[in-house]
Amino acid sequence: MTVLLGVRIAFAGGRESLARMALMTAGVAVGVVLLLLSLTAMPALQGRIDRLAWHRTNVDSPATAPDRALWLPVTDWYDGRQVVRVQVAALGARPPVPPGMERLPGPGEVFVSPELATLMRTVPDDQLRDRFPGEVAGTIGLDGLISPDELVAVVGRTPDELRATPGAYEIRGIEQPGDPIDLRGFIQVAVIILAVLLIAPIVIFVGMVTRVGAARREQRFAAIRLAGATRWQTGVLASAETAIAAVAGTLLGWGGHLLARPFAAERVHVDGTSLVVDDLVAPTGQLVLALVAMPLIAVAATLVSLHRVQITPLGAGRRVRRRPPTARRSIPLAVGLAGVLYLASADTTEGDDPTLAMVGVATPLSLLAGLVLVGPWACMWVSRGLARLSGRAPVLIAARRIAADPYTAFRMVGGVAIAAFAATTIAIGGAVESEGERAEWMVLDGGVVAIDARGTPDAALAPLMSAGTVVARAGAGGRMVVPCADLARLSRLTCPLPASYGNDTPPIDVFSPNGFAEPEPGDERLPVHSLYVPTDGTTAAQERVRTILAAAAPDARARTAPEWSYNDELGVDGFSSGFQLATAFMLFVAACSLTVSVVAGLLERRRPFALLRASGVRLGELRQIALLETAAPLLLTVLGGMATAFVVMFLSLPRAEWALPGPGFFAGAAASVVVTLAVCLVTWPLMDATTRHDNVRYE
Amino acid sequence: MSASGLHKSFGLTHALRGVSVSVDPGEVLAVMGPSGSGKSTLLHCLAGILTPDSGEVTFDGQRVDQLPDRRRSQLRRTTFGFVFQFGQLVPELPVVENVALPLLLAGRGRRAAMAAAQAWLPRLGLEGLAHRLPGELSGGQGQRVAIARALSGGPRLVFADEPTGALDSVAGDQVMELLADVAKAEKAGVLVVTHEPRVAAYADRRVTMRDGLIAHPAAVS
Repeated sequence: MTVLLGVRIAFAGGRESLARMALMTAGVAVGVVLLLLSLTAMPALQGRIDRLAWHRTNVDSPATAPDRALWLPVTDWYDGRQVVRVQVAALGARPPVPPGMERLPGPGEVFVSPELATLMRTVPDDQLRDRFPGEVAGTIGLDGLISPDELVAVVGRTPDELRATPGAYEIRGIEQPGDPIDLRGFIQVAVIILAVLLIAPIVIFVGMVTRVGAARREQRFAAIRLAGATRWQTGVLASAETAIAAVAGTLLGWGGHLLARPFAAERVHVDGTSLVVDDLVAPTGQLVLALVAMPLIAVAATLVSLHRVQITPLGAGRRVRRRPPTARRSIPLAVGLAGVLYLASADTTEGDDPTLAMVGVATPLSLLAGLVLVGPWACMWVSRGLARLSGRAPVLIAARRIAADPYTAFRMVGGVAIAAFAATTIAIGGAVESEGERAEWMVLDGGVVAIDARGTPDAALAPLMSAGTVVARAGAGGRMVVPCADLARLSRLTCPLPASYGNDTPPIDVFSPNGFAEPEPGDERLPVHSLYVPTDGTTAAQERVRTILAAAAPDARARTAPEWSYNDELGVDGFSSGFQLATAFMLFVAACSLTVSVVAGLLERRRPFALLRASGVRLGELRQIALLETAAPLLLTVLGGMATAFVVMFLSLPRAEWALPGPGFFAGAAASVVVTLAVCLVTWPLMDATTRHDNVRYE
Repeated sequence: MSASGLHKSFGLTHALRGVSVSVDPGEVLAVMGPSGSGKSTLLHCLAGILTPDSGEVTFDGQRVDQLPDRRRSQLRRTTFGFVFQFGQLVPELPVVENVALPLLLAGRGRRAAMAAAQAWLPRLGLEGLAHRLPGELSGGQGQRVAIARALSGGPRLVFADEPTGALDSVAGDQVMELLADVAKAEKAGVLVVTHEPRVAAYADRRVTMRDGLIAHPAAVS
């Protein structure tokens, strides 16, 4: 009965109640969409790992067919994209067949992925098509692809052809999806953190929304208590509105998540390729849990936000003001920073040090908790300082208002602190990584195609021996025998080349020699180690070299300088995408929370502001107050989160590796803050409406 | 300040129907009348908060009713002071900063504004309350802070709309006594809107309104 009354009151509460419910519905819906998408991350990655299994087929793969096959996989490249090229030859009528195909291609036949088929139609044959000798006789289905935009070709050869090709081996079966790989544990933790990062802002948002028109609603509840309602019944009445909005938002979010899956599959990239939509399916148990938990969490958030209001039959009153935050709140952050220092100075060569492991887990948790805890304290001191120093009324009022309740001021933007911290850490990590790659790998000049030709006969490489090609041969002790002047012409190496690599020599990987040696008479008989073919740097010229190589030496690898920086680590850019998504979401929710908070604050202070305006204070000055109340904690939080990340990374990384993120990152951060503040500007018309002179009257 | 033939309607309701009234420097004028008689509308028209439909409001030789909104806001900020029934104090600002607010808004430096505000506190019996927040004050103390704020900018005319409406009679008397005394000392005119005769008793002159008209043109207290 009470619930029904609550529902009736919710719908009979006028525009204010409907606006509150609409805001909550929208907030919960967006949160559920992102939460469900984050729950699909694990299945998506597992699906990708499973789809990748047949690429790992080797001589030890268990039998999956009565007959055997010859197998030669090569990871090739086209214009910065990986191309998987597998040459096969059936050794019987029923050879093992990879997924996505009904049979193995016969000699002279090629099966290609749809994306490769499209690409081959748009690119001259001598740049791509000629790498796959034969007639395109079939398409590889999605089951055999890790991504719809993967470039794969399975080329059918005769057994004799393939036996004569270095690197080919005999297989009994196709590698099947196996046990989950080790990264899963890490991924799981990351997904849980992501989910928490997504839920927390929604909880805060719901709490904020309940503040809109709180005074009038609390008066209504007091009247209901006067009519005999118990405290519990009042709580049920208060929750009804949230529950309706949360259930509606959850259902909308579920629908929205189904609609958003194709978009997410296309936009979230792992290893540079998109995901398969069918893999983006949240496990049923987790899906049900999320759909049930979200409304419950929203209702709990409402009850908690109402907890500070004491509703009695005589009226509603606020409980005693919370005590101002103290310096003790900075302890967890300090502990986290101490943990970073410990980890940076610890000897990590001992793999199983339990103390190290414990500190390794506790440190990030302390840092995250510390950021959230220290926020109100920092907000209070900064706003007090501003209030003491400022001679401008809008700054004074805004700063005093933040100082009066730093908990609320920070609660709105607390998620942003974590987002700024995570985004900055990832950005610095990325900058350090790319600096490292530049230092270690980018030794070749642009336009040079390096070919790892170890094991390939000289004769097979003849088509590539054009003028300017530098041939390096494999010398004794793993050293590369190459004329220094020739190699220096195509690279950033200077003569003399290091004879060997020691601890003080920066690593130089042009297919991992241990050092260099100048050729001596007779060295031309040594086997070829690698070739360096200069081109004019155009994609066409480089891809022509690769296509010639594929025909001449099918198992040889060719790389250009940028391809060395390709990150083979599964999911790294996927995590970046996920965290970027979470960061964007937290900024969005923070913007909404700030907006709602400004609205609630305006409604609460309708009379003082209206009276100030009647007394001659300009509307612009009142708007400045609202904007400053929003901007100050947001800026402080973003700067605080970023500064903590800088300190953490500075302490963790050796000085030589330290690198700042590019200007793009800072521009992005500034743009995010500006957009967040711009969202809050929607409250400006409300400021005008609520402070009009009609609100001055007392009758 | 003088007004003549003021008319103001809100839809079909005629709030003012040809009201004429004047306030001299240093004079306390009480506008009395029951609820809905038009006394607050008169105050708002005189202060430039509302624009009358017809009639004229003149202050210091200039037609207030013909000034653009920006100039009227400036006039209210720099030349007029306001005391309302309740709620005009910014709850997060301590007493001294609330009093200093008009000075800060006028562009006075922080140090000077705070010093000037501090000087007002003993005159209104607010010693020792400089750093209290409005929520920590009694109703009478709050209204005294409001008076200090209204007078801190050196206004030539103070508009008080039911200044004791939310106070008990003792506190109300104290507030009115202070308002009248301090305004006289500062040579500022005061226009008080009230429906309480004991408040009107502090005025030099009283007018009573009924149905948008001055019922008793001028009664000397």
